[in-house]
Amino acid sequence: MVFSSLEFLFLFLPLFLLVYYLLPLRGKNIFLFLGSLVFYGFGIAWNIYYLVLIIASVLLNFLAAKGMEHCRRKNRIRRGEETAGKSSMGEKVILTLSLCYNFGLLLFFKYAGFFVENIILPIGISFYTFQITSYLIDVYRRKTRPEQDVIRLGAYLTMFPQLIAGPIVNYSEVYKRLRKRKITLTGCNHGLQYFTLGLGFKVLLANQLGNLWEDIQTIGYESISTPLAWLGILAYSLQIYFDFYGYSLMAVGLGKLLGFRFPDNFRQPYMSLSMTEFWRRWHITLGRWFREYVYIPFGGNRKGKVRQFFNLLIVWLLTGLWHGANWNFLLWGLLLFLIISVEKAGLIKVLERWKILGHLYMFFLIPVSWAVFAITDPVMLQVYFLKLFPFIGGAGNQGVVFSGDFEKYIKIYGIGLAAGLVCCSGLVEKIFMKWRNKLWMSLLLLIIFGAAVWCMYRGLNDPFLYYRF
Amino acid sequence: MRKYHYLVLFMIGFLVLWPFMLHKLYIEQAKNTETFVEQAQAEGAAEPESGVYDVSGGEAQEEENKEAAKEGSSGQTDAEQETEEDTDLTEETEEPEEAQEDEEAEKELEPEEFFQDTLFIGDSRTMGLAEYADIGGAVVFANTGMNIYRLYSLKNAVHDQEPYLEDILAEKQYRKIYLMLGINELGYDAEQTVKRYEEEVLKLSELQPEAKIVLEANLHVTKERSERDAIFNNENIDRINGNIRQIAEKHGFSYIDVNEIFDDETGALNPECTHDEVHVLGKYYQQWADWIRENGI
Repeated sequence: MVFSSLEFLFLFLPLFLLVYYLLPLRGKNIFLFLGSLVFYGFGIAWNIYYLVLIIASVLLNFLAAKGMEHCRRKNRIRRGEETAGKSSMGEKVILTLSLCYNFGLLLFFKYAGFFVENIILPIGISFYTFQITSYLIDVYRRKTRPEQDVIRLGAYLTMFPQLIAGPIVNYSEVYKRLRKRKITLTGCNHGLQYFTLGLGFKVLLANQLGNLWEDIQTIGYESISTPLAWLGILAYSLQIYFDFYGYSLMAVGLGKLLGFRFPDNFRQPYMSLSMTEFWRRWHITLGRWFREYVYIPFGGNRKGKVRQFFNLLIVWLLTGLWHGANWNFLLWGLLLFLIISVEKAGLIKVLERWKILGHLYMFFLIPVSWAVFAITDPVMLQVYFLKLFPFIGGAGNQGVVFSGDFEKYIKIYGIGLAAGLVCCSGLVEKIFMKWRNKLWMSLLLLIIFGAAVWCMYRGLNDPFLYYRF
Repeated sequence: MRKYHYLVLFMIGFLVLWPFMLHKLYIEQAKNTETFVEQAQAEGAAEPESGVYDVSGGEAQEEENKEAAKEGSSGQTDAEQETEEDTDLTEETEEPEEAQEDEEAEKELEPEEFFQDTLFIGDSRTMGLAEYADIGGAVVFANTGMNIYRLYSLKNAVHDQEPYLEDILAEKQYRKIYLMLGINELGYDAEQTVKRYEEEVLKLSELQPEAKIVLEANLHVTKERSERDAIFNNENIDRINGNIRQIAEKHGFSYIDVNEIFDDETGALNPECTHDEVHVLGKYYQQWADWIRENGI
């Protein structure tokens, strides 16, 4: 069940909120845990094993954290206060074992597909594995206290707004609010505003632009012209951004409706001047996770230049693999590593000094890097790149091309593309923040909501409402 | 109050929409269950609908029944058989002297002249033909969603062509008119559609008395798509194709079925030829055009 579906919006959400608001705090947490499991159940088509898997994750990690605490206490009693800051053997063993369990399952489900067919990835496992391991490591590092109530931990891990597509919330960010939260009308008002904005980005922009990318698949890469290839990858870049950004905004909005505050996941990444900056503004909570739990523990930039580049390589290969079990994601990670390394070696100073240059550089690199991300088949990737850069190889570039294709598709998608480009600039957010308490803004948001619902309503399979072939 | 504008407006809007959306969800739910039941039925031995397109009469019917009794044949095998018969019959109906003369005349034409003074009418699949195949000089009238009910109201979406069918028909006398329609109509009442189709074809031949009219069978969708879709599936496509063939026989028009070059062994669109399970990839349209040329119809 995605947020941008009628089932979620008109069935799950109102019923959930109705009960949720009536319950006292303890009841709220229990209901949030159970409700999220129901939400998850819909997402996995009630595959009972996957439901067991997520509940097991809550229970085992809850026990692991308690176990670490127990070892720590015993250690302190035996050895006295001087070892208080150090981790005991028991803690290390428990951490290692539980990390092996969590990452083992993630690896199994992600990469089993290489060997066995018909293994479907349990939805959200990449997200909840990262979230729960961040909790474990934080407990181990004494950055957060182990949770004493399994319901609260369950509510944190499965909380439906962030369960299937992030943001990856650290436990310390919701620690307080799991214990005490005030739900105010202002908070709900803001929550609905964020949700509507996100829904608009997802349904009105991402879904429409996604159609162009879909059309290009339908034609086949062999038969598109170079301008259409660029238009297509631009549409894909905008689609993936508004899809993900919209989803994150909806999550933040839903979080506010429930009385939580989630971290921002995007900060106008397409306005970045360099790839380094881009990845500080794109999927922020993922970048943060890799920085805190991989890059810095490996030594970050404190162990010399060579080691720093090595650490970067590790982080980017893992980032690539996290996105999917396919060789092209590795290639994509490697590409990002190379770009960021070159920037670190000095290019970034140039890009930040001449901003226009930085924007042009990113305007070129963003779509190109997404092309490597989007096309999973190596042969097809090569075909697409020959279309993007026809001057590279003449021989591979045959095939019938419809010469009017660019004109045809710009007519259909031109407005959507232009709207997407404008919305990337952060203008929308600025206007929204400035006038969000005005009546006209509320009316505008209501129109966005209505339009999005209309699109969702129309999108259901009704052969009379629109013709498809 | 100022601070909760949106909350209040949202609640009002939401409450207004709520009953409609719940109704919609309810209908969808009911439809899905129905599809499920239909599929379960289709998987059973005999289908009630298979008789509809059995025009060839006794023999085929008997054979089919035997088949069904023997191994409880699924809808797919029926469809396959039907397609094979289609092509056989096409050849037979092409026998009459007139048609033969026509064919001889065609053969004399150079390949590049083959589509001269030809008009293609169709939906998005025909649009693909116009865009990705060399059909030198042919006029094309097509649009995504084109259907028999809106032939004269929908606009042409093909590059550099007249917008309305009326003008295209008035413009000149064509030698040949190819017509591929029927898939967008699957959501309508089948009987109604067949009746309308016949009317429209007769109207076409009246407006273009000299033109040879070629009715094209609709392209199949892939097996996967067919199994998933309650409406746009191969069973329905085969049924309307059968009806189109009947119309062709009845009035002496030609009938061709391009599915023979794009079908896989199950009688569905070969998944390798398509991405969206409905349209062939751009590079395959030329094969379609060449196939028409080679068959000389």
